Amino acid sequence: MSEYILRTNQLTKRYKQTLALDNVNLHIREGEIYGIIGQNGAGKSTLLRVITGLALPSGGSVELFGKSERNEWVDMQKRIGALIENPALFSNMTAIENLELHRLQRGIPGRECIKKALQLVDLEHTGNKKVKNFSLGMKQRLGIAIALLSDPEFLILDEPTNGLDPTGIVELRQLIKKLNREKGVTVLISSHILSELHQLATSFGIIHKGKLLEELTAKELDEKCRKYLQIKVDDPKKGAIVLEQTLAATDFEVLQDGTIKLYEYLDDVRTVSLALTKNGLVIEHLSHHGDSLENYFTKVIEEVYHD
Amino acid sequence: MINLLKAETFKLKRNKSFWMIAGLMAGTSILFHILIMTEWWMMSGTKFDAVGLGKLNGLAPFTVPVFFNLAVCSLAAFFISSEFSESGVIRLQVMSGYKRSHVYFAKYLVFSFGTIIITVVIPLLTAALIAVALGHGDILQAQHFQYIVGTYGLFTLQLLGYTAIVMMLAILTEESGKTIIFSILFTVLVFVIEQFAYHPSVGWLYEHTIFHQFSFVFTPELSGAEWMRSTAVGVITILLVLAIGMAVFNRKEIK
Amino acid sequence: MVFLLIFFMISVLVLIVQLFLLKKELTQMRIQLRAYNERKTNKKIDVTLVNKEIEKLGQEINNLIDLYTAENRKRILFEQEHKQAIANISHDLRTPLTSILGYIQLAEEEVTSEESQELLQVAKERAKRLEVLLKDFFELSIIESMDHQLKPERIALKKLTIERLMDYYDQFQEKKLEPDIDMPEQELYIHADVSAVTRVIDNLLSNAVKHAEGNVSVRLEKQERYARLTVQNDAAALKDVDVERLFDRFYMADQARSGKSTGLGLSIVKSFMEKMDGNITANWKDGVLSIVCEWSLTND
Repeated sequence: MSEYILRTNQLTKRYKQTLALDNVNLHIREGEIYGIIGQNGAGKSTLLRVITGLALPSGGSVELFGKSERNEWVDMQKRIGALIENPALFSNMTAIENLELHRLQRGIPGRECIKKALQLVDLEHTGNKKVKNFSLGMKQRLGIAIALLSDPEFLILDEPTNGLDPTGIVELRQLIKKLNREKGVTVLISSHILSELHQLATSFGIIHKGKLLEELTAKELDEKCRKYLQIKVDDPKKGAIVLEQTLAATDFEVLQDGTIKLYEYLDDVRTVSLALTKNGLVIEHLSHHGDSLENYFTKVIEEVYHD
Repeated sequence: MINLLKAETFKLKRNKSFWMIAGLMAGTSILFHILIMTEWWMMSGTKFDAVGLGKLNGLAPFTVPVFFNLAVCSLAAFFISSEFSESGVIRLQVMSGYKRSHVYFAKYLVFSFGTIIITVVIPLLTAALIAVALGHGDILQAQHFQYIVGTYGLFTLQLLGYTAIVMMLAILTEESGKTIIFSILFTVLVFVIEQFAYHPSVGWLYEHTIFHQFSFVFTPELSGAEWMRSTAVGVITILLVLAIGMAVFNRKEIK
Repeated sequence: MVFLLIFFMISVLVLIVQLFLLKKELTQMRIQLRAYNERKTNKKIDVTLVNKEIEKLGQEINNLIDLYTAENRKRILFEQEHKQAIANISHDLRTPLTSILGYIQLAEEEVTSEESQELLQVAKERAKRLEVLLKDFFELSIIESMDHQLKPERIALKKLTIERLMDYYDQFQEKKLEPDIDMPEQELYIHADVSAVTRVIDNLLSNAVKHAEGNVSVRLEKQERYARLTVQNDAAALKDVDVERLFDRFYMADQARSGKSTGLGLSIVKSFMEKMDGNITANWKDGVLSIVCEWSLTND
């Protein structure tokens, strides 16, 4: 199997005069939970619509499970479950009927899958209630159930928390984590709410005005967002002792190249530098690092603006 | 493909509008047949009179586009267009991993199936029922039977061309209201063109459309050439319009 | 009579069509299962919903796939956690080790008694060895953990190999080795991660320097669609059985477990080669050990 579940190459989408997607190169590996972050209208939905074949690209290509030729690519859609924008439901049918319709369409053998999908989203007791009498949250959950019906390898969810109450959001997060862990489902999820994705995704793509500004893993993001003092002294070993003995610091790391990351004394750089110099160390570098999550994203977006 | 057909049939069976239109058609049809067969209402000069099937004159209105088009375009509106507007259920189908042309063709087949039920099966069935009920069972003899099967076979072929056109309109307009309006406008336009059919070139063209064929196929004792021509007009229309419709649908942005 | 005949013919036709559909359906299922078994897909199978028995069969196959997935996931998760734990442990060990070394250094300055100095010296040496070991161990665990991602690019392999050889020139000199170098005329381009390839070449060269008893040869050549790098050195003491275990972690042929060697060098090479989708093999013949690495050549 190819390493990438999804890869886009210079993907561009033009609507008359506006560029909805501008040379997007997205990479999603197997087993990832990939979060696309962007403000409303940044191009998240357009991207997902092109990936799922609802909209056709104006330029560039989409490679799904290693296939980019359109005929093969359509076939690969069978391996995907998706919820794009608002859930696509027949309002005069019940939840079960909606799922049955989708089951027929996909040729999924056995009606057991319907029960399972309803259980996953906690809708198994809606009985004969028609979808038009559902609350927004229930509709959303039914939309997710449809996406899950075929047990897809790749799950695409566009702003799935729309209309869900706080408990529903937590449940959805747990569900996605569970599917990812227990079935190895790769997930692509979009949101304009940072904190929502931060607790879930293992990789991030930041999109703004149709451009994919940055792709980074959760680890890299945490690294960038964890605040620390970066210290470089002429003798890192001694430096570590000074931190331990003089400052009673416990939360620090010595990196391979001798750089020390100190996660304490963030507001007291003076004390740190004094302690180090008093013990005869030469400070080559001492600086603050790390940002809050929101600040980091604002920074990424602004950087591109200023160019 | 079979799965797509099953899904479409599942939808048609649960489509309220379909049952309502079918009910209305059945009601109207029964009423017509009763009125005609009990001779409360006299209709003359129809094609049915010419072959001695005056008792079945109640079928005549159901063969006129301006009349049945209401039923057909309503069905198109609530079976096809609404999928695009009403929460966009078409998206799920397009994302299910089928070629769009297959999706389109499955829809066309089931939509045509519904149309045939409404405009062919119901009027004929009610006619037979009423005839038997009112003691006119004798008109159902072999020779008439042959005429009915032959003409309605050709009629259905033309109807399939018509459903292809209406379906394309439904896909283009994406909205129930617009579909109805455009379909009616289209049929009225054809009706107007018909009035200009005395002009030789317009007339020739008109004679080779399914709209002319709708009434022409009821002509008693069609010649072999006329048979061939009717069949050709129907088949070519179906293929041509389907091809265009699929091409349109293939490039369509699904909202 | 005519009706009976018509009825009969229609029945036969229906049966033939059904048979045909059934056969087609079985073919479809076989193709899907095959793709699954060849690990080309993880998709469950779908069927044309025309026959109840076919549908049930499809359902049972999917249940089997569920079972397989569940077992497989358990294994994968276990391995992942294991590797992650190792990566974390070696990471966590480094910081205290750094301060241990610092303390020893401090003690060296404070302590005057010669005996204690000697003891400290030993402690320092051991700690240094631990540091080296930890570094290699950490590197290996990182390569094998999920987080590590290679960044492939176009590499001129001949140029890179020569560069690395230059860097090792002094070490060869020190051991009075004269490597026999054989390079192709034209440049060989591969698509791989530069730091990984560099590390592979470095480890192979340093391994050769460490263990060679007289002759070392480095050969780069084009073999059909592959770039093949062969590093040879004589190693009379090595036995066949050792060759198979060369890439094992912590395996050392001399078993002495002394000096700077950690026994992880070739494990790292192997891990990198696997990550790059390359091939690596080791042969021992007539007292000569050859380690062969192969990368796919780029098309242009």
